[in-house]
Amino acid sequence: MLTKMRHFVLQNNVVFLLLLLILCFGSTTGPLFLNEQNLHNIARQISFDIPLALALTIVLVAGGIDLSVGSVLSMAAALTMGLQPLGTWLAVGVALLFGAAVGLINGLLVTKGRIVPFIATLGTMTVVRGAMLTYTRQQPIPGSDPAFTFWGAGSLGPVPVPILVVALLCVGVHLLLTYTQFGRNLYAIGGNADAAFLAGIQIERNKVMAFVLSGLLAAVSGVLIASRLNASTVHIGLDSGLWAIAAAIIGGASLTGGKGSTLGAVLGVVTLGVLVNGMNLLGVHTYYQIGVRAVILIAVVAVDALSAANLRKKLVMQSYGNRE
Amino acid sequence: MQASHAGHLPDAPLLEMRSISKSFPGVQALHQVSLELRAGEVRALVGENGAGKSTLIKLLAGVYQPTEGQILLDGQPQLIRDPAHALRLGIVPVHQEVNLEPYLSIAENILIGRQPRNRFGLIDFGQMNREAARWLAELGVATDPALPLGMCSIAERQMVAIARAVSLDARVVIFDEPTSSLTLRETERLFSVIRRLQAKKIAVLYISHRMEEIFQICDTLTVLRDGALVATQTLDTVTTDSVIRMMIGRELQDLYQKQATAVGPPVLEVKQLTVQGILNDISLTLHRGEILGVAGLVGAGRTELARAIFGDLPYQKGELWVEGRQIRPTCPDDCIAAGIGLVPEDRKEQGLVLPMPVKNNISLAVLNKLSWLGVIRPRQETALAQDSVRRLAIKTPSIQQQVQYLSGGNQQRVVIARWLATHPKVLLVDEPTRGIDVGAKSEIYGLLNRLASQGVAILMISSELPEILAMSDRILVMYQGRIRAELPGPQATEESILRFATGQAA
Repeated sequence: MLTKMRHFVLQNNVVFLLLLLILCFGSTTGPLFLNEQNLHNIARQISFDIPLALALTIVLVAGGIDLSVGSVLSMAAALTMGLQPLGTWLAVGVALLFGAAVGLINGLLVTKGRIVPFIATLGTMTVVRGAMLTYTRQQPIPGSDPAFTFWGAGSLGPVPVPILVVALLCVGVHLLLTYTQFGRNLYAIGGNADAAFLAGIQIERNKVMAFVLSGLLAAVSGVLIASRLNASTVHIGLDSGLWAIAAAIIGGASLTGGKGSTLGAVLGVVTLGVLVNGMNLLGVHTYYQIGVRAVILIAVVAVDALSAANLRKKLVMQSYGNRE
Repeated sequence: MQASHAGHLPDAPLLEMRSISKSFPGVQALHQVSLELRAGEVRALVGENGAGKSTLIKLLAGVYQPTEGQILLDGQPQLIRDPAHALRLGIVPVHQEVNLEPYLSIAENILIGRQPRNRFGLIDFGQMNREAARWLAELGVATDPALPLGMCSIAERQMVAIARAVSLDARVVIFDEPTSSLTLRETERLFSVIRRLQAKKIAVLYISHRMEEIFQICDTLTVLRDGALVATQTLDTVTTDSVIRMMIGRELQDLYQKQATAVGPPVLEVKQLTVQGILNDISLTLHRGEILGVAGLVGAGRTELARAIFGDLPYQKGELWVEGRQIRPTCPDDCIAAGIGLVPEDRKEQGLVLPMPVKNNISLAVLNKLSWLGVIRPRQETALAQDSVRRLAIKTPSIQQQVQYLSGGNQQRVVIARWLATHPKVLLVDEPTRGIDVGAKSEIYGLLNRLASQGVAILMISSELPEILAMSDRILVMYQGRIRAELPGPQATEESILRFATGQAA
């Protein structure tokens, strides 16, 4: 277990970054940062970001990318609120189905349509955004079922309900990626699609499933946010997709595929969440915050790319050497 | 460069390699090779696969630097730092495709980086096309230089690459298997261009497997074997047979002695398999416990044969039968179900998922059997991996080690272990020992022999003739997508195989 942990820390520079941030904010803002209420706030905030980071991790592991998650989130929130008069759970069901359907379309565009994931999901991102603006007539939709706010705003004892929901999702995705044939297939496809195909793995079917899951998780996030706000607005989900990509990559996923983990994704989201919270406490202007977040993302990816380049060099030498 | 050009004497070598050695950690690729090239000389460079030809070219092209020895140009020692430096010195390798931009015009490809400008600093297309046409005309080529390169045939692209070389004031032009995808007429045209280069006092290094071409176009010939120089002779003093004898002559048989195995009933039958333009009417039968070697030169269709059998290359005609049942594979999965496994040619690109651990790579093709309702049973997977590591003596610190950190020989064993886990009836192995050092090779041979004696039918594709000769019960020789000969293993010789593989005998 200890060696496993050491292995993880060595593989995930993000842990150091996170500790550094906590130390930084802890020492500069003191009790403002490290008090129960603030940590509670951070936890509640990030619980809405984690499903998206999980979605991106799944797709990135399979060697794809999904830009449409932010739009799916906002449309799912709009459907959850808009259809609530017809029945709270019917509305939630439709919202989740919608997310899965967009994922299915993404998957089919990528596999059957042979469109690169970036372009395919850029397309669906735009279409779904348009659909949402049309559906909502660019107006916020208020909720009509007060009981429904339990899922996004309620607490069970000291623990916020959305955190419990998200924790369940994390466990589920972790089990899926680590212990199932499907998860293993995704790592193999993202790591080396040719080798996976020659080992008898059905590439297309698995990729489509990855996108469906991604859409579904994005919709879950939308439902939770709608419940939290007891409304949907046209602003939610605007840049969530990009930040979910950032969190997944900070958490160790790679744009080249085959890498990433649930724990990494969670740590990525926590890191970004702590960062934003700390900057808020320090009174850093929102515009500067955007810049800081971007710098962190680029720095993490650069460190990743440099260590990958070093590794490649080592491997090239080895392949000539064939040390037995 | 221009000044030295005027200074050198006709008899002094233009390019000289003095006792060049190149070693990579653990592998001696070239050992004390010396070579002199004179202006206007066309030199053939021949040798078996792995003899060191490409290392030698890469040293000249600045891709590698020699471990020992000197390269002299016009008598001046030169340390060729990188490919750009080699170009500046006038050493130009002509590859197909490489270094050319398919979306730019022929003229832009010839004059890339040196396009003529008009007085506004923009590219002067008229002038550029005229200049390019002039360079092409010098080679006797009349293609319109304004055409995009992407519309050109391979032969025309070659001409573009040569025109660029000439326009760059090339001193030495290196051709690596230039005719492998040319028609007879295109080859003739290439040869007339090479003669023009010769007349311009350019030295040509010509690498080819095709003997008749070498006798047609080259003046002198250098033979490499196992990284060392065998001989340099003028072509009028040699014959095809004497060249082939110089190329071979390795005695590796001592390293691995084929065990006699009882060959059983047919397991895999391939009938009239045809893939448009790649494989032509291939029929073969593979028996239980047999190792069937498939020899042939690069491009003969050997790898494609394996991929067609494995459902990775759709075929237009033909039948595949496994143990008397016909299979119609549409993907590798179908073949795996029928009991076929493939150890592919390039284990890093096609065989392994490099960032995954040894364990996951071994279990990849049998996840179905290891899982219950889609959930992998971890204990069974670990047991399979540990058992495979033990049985195949895979050297790895643990089964959790990422496979990219293993040596070539151990990586290959991981790929083989994956297929053994499927309990295959037929194992297709493509270049099983490529890039693996000698000691590890003989262990792979031992492994394949053991599998055969356990009843697995093995189809072994290899470019290394000693390997084919020592391992095979029977040998098929392929040439241009056809099986040219079937030789019984014990009677075959490197010479007889090479004669069929180079199209000398039909």
